[in-house]
Amino acid sequence: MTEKQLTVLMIDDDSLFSDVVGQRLRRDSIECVYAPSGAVALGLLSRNSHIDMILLDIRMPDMDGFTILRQLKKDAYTATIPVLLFSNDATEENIALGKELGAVQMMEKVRVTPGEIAETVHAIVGA
Amino acid sequence: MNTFFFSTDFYALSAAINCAASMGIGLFILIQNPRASLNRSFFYFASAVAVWSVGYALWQLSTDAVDALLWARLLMVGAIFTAPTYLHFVFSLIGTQHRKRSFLFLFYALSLVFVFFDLTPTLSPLFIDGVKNILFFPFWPKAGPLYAYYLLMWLICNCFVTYLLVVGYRNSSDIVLRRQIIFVFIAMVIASVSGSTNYFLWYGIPIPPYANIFVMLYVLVIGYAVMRHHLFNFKAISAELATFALLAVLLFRTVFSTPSDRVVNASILTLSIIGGFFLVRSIIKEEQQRELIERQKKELEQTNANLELANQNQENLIHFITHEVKGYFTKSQVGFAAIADESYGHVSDALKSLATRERDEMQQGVDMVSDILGAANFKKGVVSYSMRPFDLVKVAHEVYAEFEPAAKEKRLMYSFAAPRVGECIVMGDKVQMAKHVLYNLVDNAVKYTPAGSVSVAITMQGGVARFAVSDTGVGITPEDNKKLFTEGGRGKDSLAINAHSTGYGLYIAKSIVGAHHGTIRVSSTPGKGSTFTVDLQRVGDAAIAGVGTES
Repeated sequence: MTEKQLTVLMIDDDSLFSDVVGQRLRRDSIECVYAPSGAVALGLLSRNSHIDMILLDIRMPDMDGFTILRQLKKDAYTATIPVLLFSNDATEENIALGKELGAVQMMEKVRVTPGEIAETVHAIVGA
Repeated sequence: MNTFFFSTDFYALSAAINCAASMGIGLFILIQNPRASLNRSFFYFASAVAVWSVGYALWQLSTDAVDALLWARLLMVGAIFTAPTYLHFVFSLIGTQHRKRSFLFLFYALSLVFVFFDLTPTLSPLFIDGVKNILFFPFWPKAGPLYAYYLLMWLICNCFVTYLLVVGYRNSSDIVLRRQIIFVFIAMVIASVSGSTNYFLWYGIPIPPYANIFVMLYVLVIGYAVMRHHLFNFKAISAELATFALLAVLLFRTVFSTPSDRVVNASILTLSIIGGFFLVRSIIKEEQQRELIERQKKELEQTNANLELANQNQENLIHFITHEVKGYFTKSQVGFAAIADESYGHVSDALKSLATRERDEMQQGVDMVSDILGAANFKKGVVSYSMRPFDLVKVAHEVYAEFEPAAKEKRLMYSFAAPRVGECIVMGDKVQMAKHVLYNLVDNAVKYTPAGSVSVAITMQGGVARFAVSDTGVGITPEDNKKLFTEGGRGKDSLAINAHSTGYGLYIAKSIVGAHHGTIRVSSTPGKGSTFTVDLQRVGDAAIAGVGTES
């Protein structure tokens, strides 16, 4: 069975977290593209890069995760890309808001392991 | 005595007292702050009353018609100016805009016209048409044709002042100003009623000016409002005025009594002065105490506000720190997880084990920070609950199952007893209840029981569902028990086993159970074990049916 190469866009200002998670994903042959801010991410996506999934952090300077998610859902192309949210403030309200805006799931950053993230990515977009 | 009140002497003396009181208080207030328009305008007004009173006293003491007419004219100068100066004072008090101030100039101008007629010998009969004998007054003035217009101005001015005071009172949110306005209004009513008793005789109506003496109150009451504006103590001012009036009457009696009565009257006066002195002094003291209380109340309010702010700042700081700390934990824990997971290549078993242990330690830190943050949220009241019927047995069993491995590892007798799924439905926030109440209690029981048993049970008694966790652990001393459910209430024994206990777990649990209108209790014997029970209200059949279809 030939598996299609998956590409994940990680939008997070925390480069260490992105790096560690990216390293783990690459071990599973998942390509990782990083964007340290919403502006960079939206620029990348507008150039029509092929992205299968987006891992999006909520707490970021300038543009927060929810704002980016709203922007993504406005565009016909990006609206179809599944979004997995990350936050250390996974309150009921934030989880509900994430769902309402169309995110697939919210994971608590401080408790999740890179392995669990990889599993979740596979479960959502994996073949 | 009776003859005294029906003599010109009484009116002369009452006018002299009016004059002394007006001038005294007018000057006193002016000296307090000569630059303030309120104090200045009050002085103008008090001066007008003083001029009127001087004229009044000398007129009453006159022995021939020429003198009487002269002093009556002077009296009218003061009387005419009381209207515009009073309006002036009210403008200063309520701070009306300049547009309305043009009325003030109009009243001053009109007053000057009346004064011109009053003092110009050839024109004067138009205003005061000579003097006549009426009742016991040998030289009472007769009103000329213009006099009615003066009375009209006086009436219009009073109406305008009333309007300004009512509007000022309505528009002002300043409690001090509102009190002053009430005071000034009361004074005006006293003055209008008292002063108007002077005008009947001008038109030949035989009503003597009995109330004239009370004009003095006009000045005194307003003066008080200006001076003591920060505190309106009607009781104090009434007592002071009553004492003053009593002493004044006693003074007349003494001065005008026969030599034989004078000794008795003087003794009464002396006693009254002493009594009055103590009375007024005690009232002043009372007032000072009142002011002190008022000041302390204000200070207390300010302190409370500061404390509230400090508390708020502290809570904000806790939020900030916990969020930041969580951020750093995140980086480290994914790092350790990646090492244990061999994301960066093969690692030795020893390193893998170390990384796993480090990650577990990190998780404890995260739990602690989350507890503190959670407690701060509960305290702040920012936690919202999603109340829905849920199956307590199902949720409790999930929590129970989660601790099975830990209990097994410690070789504890670990049991679960409950009604069947679907039989015990409670209304509440399933997530909060499971995460912070049930989880916490079972976690504690397993953690603080070195050997023996931990049992989780659900029972139903009527409309109450009881969740109970019993253990044969270290137990809780009565001393620790007292602060068990309080913020940061860590027991000594609990610290011996779990040195990293934050003491927030049971505080949060109690907050949540309280929000569900339930109760949480503990019974414990140190060294033998504890039983924690949570009572929650079960929901009725309709809700149970709803849950049935949902599940």
